[in-house]
Amino acid sequence: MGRHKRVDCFYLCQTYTRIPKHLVRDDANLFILTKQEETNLKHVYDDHVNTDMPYAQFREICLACWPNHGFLVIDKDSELNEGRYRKEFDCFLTINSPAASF
Amino acid sequence: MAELSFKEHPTLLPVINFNKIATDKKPEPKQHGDFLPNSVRAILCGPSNCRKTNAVVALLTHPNGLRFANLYVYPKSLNQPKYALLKRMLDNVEGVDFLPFADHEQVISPDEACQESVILFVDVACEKQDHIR
Repeated sequence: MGRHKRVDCFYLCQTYTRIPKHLVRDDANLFILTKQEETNLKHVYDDHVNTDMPYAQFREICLACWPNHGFLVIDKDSELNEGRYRKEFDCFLTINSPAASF
Repeated sequence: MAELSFKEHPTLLPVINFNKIATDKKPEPKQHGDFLPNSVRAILCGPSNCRKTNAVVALLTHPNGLRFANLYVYPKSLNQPKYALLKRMLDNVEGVDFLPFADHEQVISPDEACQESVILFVDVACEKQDHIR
């Protein structure tokens, strides 16, 4: 939607599941996740992360990103260890299963 | 769990990437900074006062962030100081327009937006969503 005219869309929300699933959540390619409750996080994991790592590791990564108003970035257009998971925009995560390091 | 093993058949049927052959296109030039995909469809999720808007303002104002000609904003309230700051900043940039939507009826679909625009939908997920969808 809008990409042929080079239109970029940002949806800012408090609850992930209240965003329309089929046209927005399923089509999104960039996620910025600040500190949030477990239910929301589990939905994001099930929809976009579950093929990359177990939930416990994803949660651990989130907890490492969130202090001091930080956030986790998921760029679905990037390869796994080439910027798909980042602390804020510019700190790329390397996943050496099962432990992760920035 | 049993260990998996794959055994290659002596007769092969390799799958090559036909996209490279079928499309004669050169790679598209980078639309934004190095940290962003060419087409951004982003979801920023978190409770209030967790600096979601702050992260977007950083993307809109940093040279390594987004590059755009128009900024459409549909916030719950246009009185937030960060939007006033954005307006002030963009008013000083020739050729870049700050276009706020005051209410739902004014909101346009991304397909109706001008070329090379960024649209922010802020905390509208629980309201009428026909344009946002």
